[in-house]
Amino acid sequence: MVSDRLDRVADDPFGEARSRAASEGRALGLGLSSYFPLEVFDAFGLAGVRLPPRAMDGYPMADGVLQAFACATVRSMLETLLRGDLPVGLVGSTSGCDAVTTVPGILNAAMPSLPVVSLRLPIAVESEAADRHATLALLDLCRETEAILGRPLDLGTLEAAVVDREAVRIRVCNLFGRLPVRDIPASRVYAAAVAAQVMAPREFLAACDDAFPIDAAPSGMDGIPILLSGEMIPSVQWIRDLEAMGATIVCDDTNTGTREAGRRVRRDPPNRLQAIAESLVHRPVHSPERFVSGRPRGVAARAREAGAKAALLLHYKFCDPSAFEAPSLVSALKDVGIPAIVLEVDRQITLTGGDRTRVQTLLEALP
Amino acid sequence: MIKLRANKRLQSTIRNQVLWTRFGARIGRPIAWVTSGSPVEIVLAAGFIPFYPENHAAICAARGMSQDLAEQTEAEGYSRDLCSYFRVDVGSQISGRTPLGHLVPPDVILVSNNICGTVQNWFRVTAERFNVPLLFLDTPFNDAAPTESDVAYVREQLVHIAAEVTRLGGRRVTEDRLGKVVLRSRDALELWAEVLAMAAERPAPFTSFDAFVHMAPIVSMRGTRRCISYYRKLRDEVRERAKAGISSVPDERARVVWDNIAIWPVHKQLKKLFEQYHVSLVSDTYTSAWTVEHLEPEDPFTSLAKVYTDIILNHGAEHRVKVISSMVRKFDAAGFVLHSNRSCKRYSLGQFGVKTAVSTATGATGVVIEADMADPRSVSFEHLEQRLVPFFETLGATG
Amino acid sequence: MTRVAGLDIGSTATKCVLMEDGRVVASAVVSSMPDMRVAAERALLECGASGVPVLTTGYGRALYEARLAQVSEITALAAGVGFVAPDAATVVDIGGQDSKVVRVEAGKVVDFAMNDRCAAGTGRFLEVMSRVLHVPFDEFDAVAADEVEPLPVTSTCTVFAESEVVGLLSARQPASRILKGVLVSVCGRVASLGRQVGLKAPIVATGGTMHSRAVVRALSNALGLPVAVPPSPQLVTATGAALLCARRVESGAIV
Repeated sequence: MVSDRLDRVADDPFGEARSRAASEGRALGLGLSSYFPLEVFDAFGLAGVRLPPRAMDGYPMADGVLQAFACATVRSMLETLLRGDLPVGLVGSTSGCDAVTTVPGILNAAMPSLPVVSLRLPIAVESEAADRHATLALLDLCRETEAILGRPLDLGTLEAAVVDREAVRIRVCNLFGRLPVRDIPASRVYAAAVAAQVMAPREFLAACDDAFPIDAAPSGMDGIPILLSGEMIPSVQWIRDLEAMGATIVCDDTNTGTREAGRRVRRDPPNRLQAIAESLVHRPVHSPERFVSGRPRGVAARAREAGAKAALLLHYKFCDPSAFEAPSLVSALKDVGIPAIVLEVDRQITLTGGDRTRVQTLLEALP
Repeated sequence: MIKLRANKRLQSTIRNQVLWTRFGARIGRPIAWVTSGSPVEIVLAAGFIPFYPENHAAICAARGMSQDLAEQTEAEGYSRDLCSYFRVDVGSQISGRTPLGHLVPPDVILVSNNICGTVQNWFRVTAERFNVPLLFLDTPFNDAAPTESDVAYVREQLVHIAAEVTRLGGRRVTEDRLGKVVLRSRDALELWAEVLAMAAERPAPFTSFDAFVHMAPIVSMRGTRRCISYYRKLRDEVRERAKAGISSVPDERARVVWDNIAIWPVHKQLKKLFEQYHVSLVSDTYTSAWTVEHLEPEDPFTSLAKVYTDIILNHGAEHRVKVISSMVRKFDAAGFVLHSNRSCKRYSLGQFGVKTAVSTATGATGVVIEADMADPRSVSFEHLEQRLVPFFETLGATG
Repeated sequence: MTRVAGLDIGSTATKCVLMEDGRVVASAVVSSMPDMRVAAERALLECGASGVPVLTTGYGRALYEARLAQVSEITALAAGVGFVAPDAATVVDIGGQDSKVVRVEAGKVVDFAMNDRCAAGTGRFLEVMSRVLHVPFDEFDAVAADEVEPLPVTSTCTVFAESEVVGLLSARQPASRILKGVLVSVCGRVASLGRQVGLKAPIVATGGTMHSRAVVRALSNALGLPVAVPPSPQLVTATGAALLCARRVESGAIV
């Protein structure tokens, strides 16, 4: 069934990435961070993809080059690259956390044949100079990429890529916007969000049309409404497990979902690269500076509006930005009457016994 | 083994700095909390008294108070995997406990992310706790050297910060006033560099264990006249020792270089272990992080922009390999120690590759030791011994 | 006459409690190894609870299929404490594989923290040290007597701590002092966990490890507050499950 396509992609994103590279005859342009602008890779003729954490028993090759005190997302990505089982032509990273900042250096030493480009986005977004610096940083990245690939950036292709990727993000946002109405299971929306990062944009949009017809009947999701906040979801199965436990996600604040999809590239700046750069600096839900006062209150307000009764804060072990924000997020949610727990994930991509106990206790303790 | 006379002077210097800060606060001088990579010259030019939470956290760890303080922060819900300097500092803020008597609260906080991304978050938390403004200097990470546009971006922010600091209760920061402070920084940094360079003598009259403690004034008093006088006296004393052939370590048999921050919870024990095996720690990337390149009093904003973007932690692994390799050569070291510091991802992640590259480039033997700069719960002296002793023996040094 | 059973299927031990008209009338503790389903059946049998409605909890709660319902072990613990120690405001449970601190009110969970990742701060740490020191658990009270001064065991990582203890032994330090230090260390970890939810008196401690008075004393010292241990501390969770089962049978809901 065509409407299962998104679920299939989301359950085997690595397989999908491989077959996409093969069928399109392109190398993959892998975005290492949630905010790397894949439209730029698309514009250079690469298949721009972003991949979720990978189920692995361990990271034997990554352990040889990276200590264990980095998040599983970074470790699994490094392991994948070192294994060489994906046809990656170029890796793109953005400045963000300290772990991601060290990855290009590690890759250059361990795999000199794999090119890596870094987008050095500003962190101080409240400064006026930030926008200008972001644009210059993106120009630098494009120049570097041109030199590596041996072909120039075609502005017409860039224009099409920007429009397509924007349409994808808007569609994903619209799907998340339907969560409080509860007419689609959250697991299907997250599957779409994961698939949106792996599939070619137009293919994704077509698959969405089939999977989410406008006049679908309500799905009867009647579990306890919750907010899910965090970085990348470990897997769609993780969401399905939560749903099976009686939790219905009505509000999203994750990298997989609205944090990334919320980025908007404005039409007015005449220079498309400038527009992309500014869209990265002015992300509405999760700015580059991350720990911004007021963000926790904003998230709590959205959760309350959506009718959430409890909140799960998904935290990857060793993710510094998430660990710094957790206490103020818990406190802001408590202020609006939403009890929250932090679920620490590491290598596992499905719910552990301990996770189930915590989630179950949270739901059972609600009045 | 002849102790440095400067050790006593260090204690009184730090004590006086603390008293100076407390007195200043009492008479209404504004206080600025700053990170170690911040352009402190600007706050000094504006008449603020600076305070360094990182330094304070190191002192707490060396005095055995860090576990207690860290637990206070963890009780608020902050993960134990977060930077231990942060956990110790906030624990001190929460409990009011400090080896310095009492903490002087900030009127403004100045942060630069040239040493890591953690400080952004650490000082957001702090700024909210004290309800004071946070000034942020964004220094873009680069592989080996800042680009012209990086310097321009940073310079623009510096000018803005200077205006803000004035608006928040300081004096006007003119180029002239700033230039004078920059000159004082440069003078102290040159003297410090001279001290560190003398460890290249055989035997080394001064080691990194000495440097780890004697760096305190360069971090927390840089830009003041007291700092210049401190390092002038230290330089003279170390010169005397070098002339007299005095060795910091009895009967020096091997020379080794260090990467990363010190391991404060077992600092004394580690120093004794090196002495026991007659190994001199002749140079390290941490104490030498404050360099003199680029500091020009004539164009203070531009030169500060260059200096603060060119910090070792703001560069990638390749640069680190170059720095360590050149240290190994310049200081005639046979080995190098990479402290894999659990609290500091920016400094530590990727050291395995650095180890291989430095060995290949210089022929020196490397070892990675796992510990933490301030949390004793993540430090095992037994583990450190088990790694270091065979390493020492490989270098021909026996206890 | 309402007869109900609560079954706490833990990863090491399976506990069963049979209640009749709101009173505990029988109980059983069996090993969960090698098969938890088999352990569940055995525990019910030994308890005289065959054919009685059962509510399950614990790690293996989903494995006993003939159950009426299941709840998390934390929910069950809170309900159990509400029955055996209704005035308690905080319960500290140090189990074989995990440790928990739960703030409770009228048998309900107010807040909780659980450590199921790191062996330090759980019964497993005690097990490892018991082996290294050659002191079996039932001799803890005799060896780690009140007047013994603890030797600090500073590494909280079990692996590091093991080397540290071996180091102390080879330096001829007495096992009694090291054991005391181990207890201080474990309870210190649990106290840190507790501070995340706030330690409100009166405090009650549960779990099989509380059979040792030395452990209880070390815990009280670490918390800085008196700690009461109910009779049969290992059965409190199963008792809670039985209570919730009765409520379910009577009203159709487990609230």
